Amino acid sequence: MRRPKVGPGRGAGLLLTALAVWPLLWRSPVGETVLGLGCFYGALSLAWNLYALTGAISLGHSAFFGLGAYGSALLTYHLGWSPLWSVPVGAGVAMAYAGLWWVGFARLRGVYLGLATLAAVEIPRVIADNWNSLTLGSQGLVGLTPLPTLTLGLLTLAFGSDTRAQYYLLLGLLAVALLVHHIALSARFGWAWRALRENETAAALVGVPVWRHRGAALLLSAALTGILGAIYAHLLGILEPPLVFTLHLSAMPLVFSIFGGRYHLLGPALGALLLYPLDQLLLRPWLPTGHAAVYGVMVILAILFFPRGVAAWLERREAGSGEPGPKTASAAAGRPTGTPADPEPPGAPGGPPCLEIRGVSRYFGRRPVLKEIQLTVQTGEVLAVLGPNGSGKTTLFNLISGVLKPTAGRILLFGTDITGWPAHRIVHRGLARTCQIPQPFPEMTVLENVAMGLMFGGPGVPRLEAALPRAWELLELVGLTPQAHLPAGELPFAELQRLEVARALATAPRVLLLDEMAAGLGPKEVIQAAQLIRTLKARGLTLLINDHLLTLTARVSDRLAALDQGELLAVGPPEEVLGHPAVRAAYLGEREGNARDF
Amino acid sequence: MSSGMHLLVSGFSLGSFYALVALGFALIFGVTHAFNLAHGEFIILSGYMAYFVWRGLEVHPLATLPLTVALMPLCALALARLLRWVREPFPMNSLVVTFGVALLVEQALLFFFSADYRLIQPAAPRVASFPALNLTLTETQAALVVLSLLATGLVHLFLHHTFAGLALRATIQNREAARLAGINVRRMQALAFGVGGLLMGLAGPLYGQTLYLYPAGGLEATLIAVTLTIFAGVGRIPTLLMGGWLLGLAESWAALALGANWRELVSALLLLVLLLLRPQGLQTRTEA
Repeated sequence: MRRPKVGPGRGAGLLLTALAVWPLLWRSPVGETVLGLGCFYGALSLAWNLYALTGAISLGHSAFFGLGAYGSALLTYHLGWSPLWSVPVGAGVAMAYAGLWWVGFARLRGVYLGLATLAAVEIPRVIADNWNSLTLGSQGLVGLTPLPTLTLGLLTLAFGSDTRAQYYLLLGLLAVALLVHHIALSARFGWAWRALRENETAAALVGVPVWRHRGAALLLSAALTGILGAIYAHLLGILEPPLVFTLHLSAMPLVFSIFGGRYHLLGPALGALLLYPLDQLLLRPWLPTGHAAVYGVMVILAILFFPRGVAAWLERREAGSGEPGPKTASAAAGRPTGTPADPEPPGAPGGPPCLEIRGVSRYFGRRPVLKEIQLTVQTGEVLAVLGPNGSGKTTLFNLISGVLKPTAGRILLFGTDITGWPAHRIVHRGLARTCQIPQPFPEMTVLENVAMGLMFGGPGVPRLEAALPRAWELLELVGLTPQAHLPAGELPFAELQRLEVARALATAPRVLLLDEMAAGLGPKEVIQAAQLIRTLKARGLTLLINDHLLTLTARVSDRLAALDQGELLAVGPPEEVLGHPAVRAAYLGEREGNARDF
Repeated sequence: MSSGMHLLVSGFSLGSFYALVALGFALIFGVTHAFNLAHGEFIILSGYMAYFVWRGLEVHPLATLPLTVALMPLCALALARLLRWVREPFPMNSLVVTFGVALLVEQALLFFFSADYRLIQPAAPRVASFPALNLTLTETQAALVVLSLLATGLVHLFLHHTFAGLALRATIQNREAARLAGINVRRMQALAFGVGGLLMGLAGPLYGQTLYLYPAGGLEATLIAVTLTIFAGVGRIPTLLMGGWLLGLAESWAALALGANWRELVSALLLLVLLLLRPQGLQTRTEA
């Protein structure tokens, strides 16, 4: 899973060198055309994949391709601009449309996002088809300005006429796309995109600004696609809607990326460079119509039998190198810069409240789940929220952590009104939570899961490597060091819960919400959990825990808050709350049935 | 015939047909959770079969129905077999696989039938006039309405008044509960694809008489099916019909008021609006 720096980078260098050298050794115009277009589709696939890195499968990238093409072509056609200036404007047009997607499709995910992108191609296509005075409609724009000639000393590159210069232009585009793709895989924001792809809820809870990163990926992807579309139009010299706004142009980058491998630097480019020549050189002479069926077949085979694409074997070869051993990580005892020390010691009892919940209500439809909750949490205390299943405990936690928004009321964190804030901002303010159903990043290692908290939570460590020593310490705290290099998706439930705690702590919270931490734990594990809570309290954390298991909560908490059917029945020291008549009636009476839900 | 009446007639007949197009898609999606992007392409395939039988044997266009209705369930079941190999996350992976199938079918149609536009058009189409109502109805329009309503009505009866239909509805509403109640979910999925295939077989020859057949034309039909399914939900046939009529009327109006080319935008825009209003689309409650 780890990405060593040398492996794929060297592969990319070899690939580009081979593509650059062979035409000098062997003159083959057909080969240049086909491989040139292979490079072009490789670049297009890499551009498409930038968006896919966040987990989105677009079925509509031909919209950006076509808008880039039209944006540039119209400026040269009507206003006589040079392609040198019109191509960037074309990319801008594509980005503007991507901006509409970003805002409009903000709430769409997965299959529904895919369907929306599919439908969204129709709008620019029908407009281009029918706005005759601007685009000449289906008649098309003919005789577009060719690309300019570039002179570098003795070297003259006539991109408009010389096929060899065009080949190297397309190769250059592939190199640029590979570079962008490389940055997107290895930079800090690349990890944010990967976190988004693997588990969006968890990404927000470690402090990744989900919306912003989704937009950044989409805009970058659209810009690159738009540039490619614009260059395509000028290379071809003609432009009409069916040339660009086609399902095929949306399908090709998807097919190439999935076939080649979506998670590898070279994957999308490999897919294009393998499949496109296969289609053009082998199948097309033999099957003049219908040869493109190979794309359909290959994407089906890839999804069914090798979902990580042909680059999976490259991944396997690269795996094993660069794996930091546990010893190196724990030996690096010195904390990296940027990681703050443990939270300050607790304030004096009766100090200022760190969390205030003022008259918060939440309705699902017309059904109230929480009614007028008033609750103040003091700095440094452990407060347990008790209540039977369905009493609103988890909803309360969701409201505090920004996963849900309250229907009414305000929530204040350290005196700041955080009502309605997105989850990642609340994390940055110093409040973290765990989830009842653990939310790991399944394909990242356990260590990387914790590192995400350090990179995107409060500490904001810029690089993964810098976050690893501290992540290792946190794994030691929760006792997960033996599992550090396993993919988190392989952990059993109880270990996932401890991983949740380590990852939440990695965001350097001052307030920690533990949601149903003891659910499904055996007696020994409950004792361990209680010890962990005491350790955290001793370190100065304010803790809010939520459980219907009294054996844990009564042992560790300073105060109890009893919820029933969305209403707060009593708040106070454990004995007092448990002795409260309303609590006894509502909660203890049902306890036999609710204490353990197996 | 006044333009208003014309609009109503064409919108109503087209809309009934759209409901038929969407019904098979909705049924398959409801039971298997697969967004079948090859749905439209399969209908086009069925339309091409009808076209060549009609041309080759010189029979009445509707006489091709037995063939398409017999063959399309086999195609649908083959797709069902393919989708059994799809691993998690099933919705996304099945979307990509059916997208691949759509490409494959499109290329196969291109190979066998070329890219020409084709229409099943009897030399002398019969027309029924109702002067009292100021109404003219072509035979095709009548067939569209009658057959579409008949088919949707039969599926409705099947779902609500037979034992197998009850099991199908149970599977749509909650797959796990259905399994616990002893329903063979895999058999229900095959049944949904079988019935969906029958409906594709029925829709193909009608499509060939109404809209032009060309290899890449399936996308439009798929978009219509997706739009109506998201509008109506799964298994709610009266709502599906209503949605079909609304879409048919909106398209006929757009063609009349703005020009035929803008008609294609209507279903895409409607789909986008529906998705913006219901971002979770069709997620059945049980998945929460």
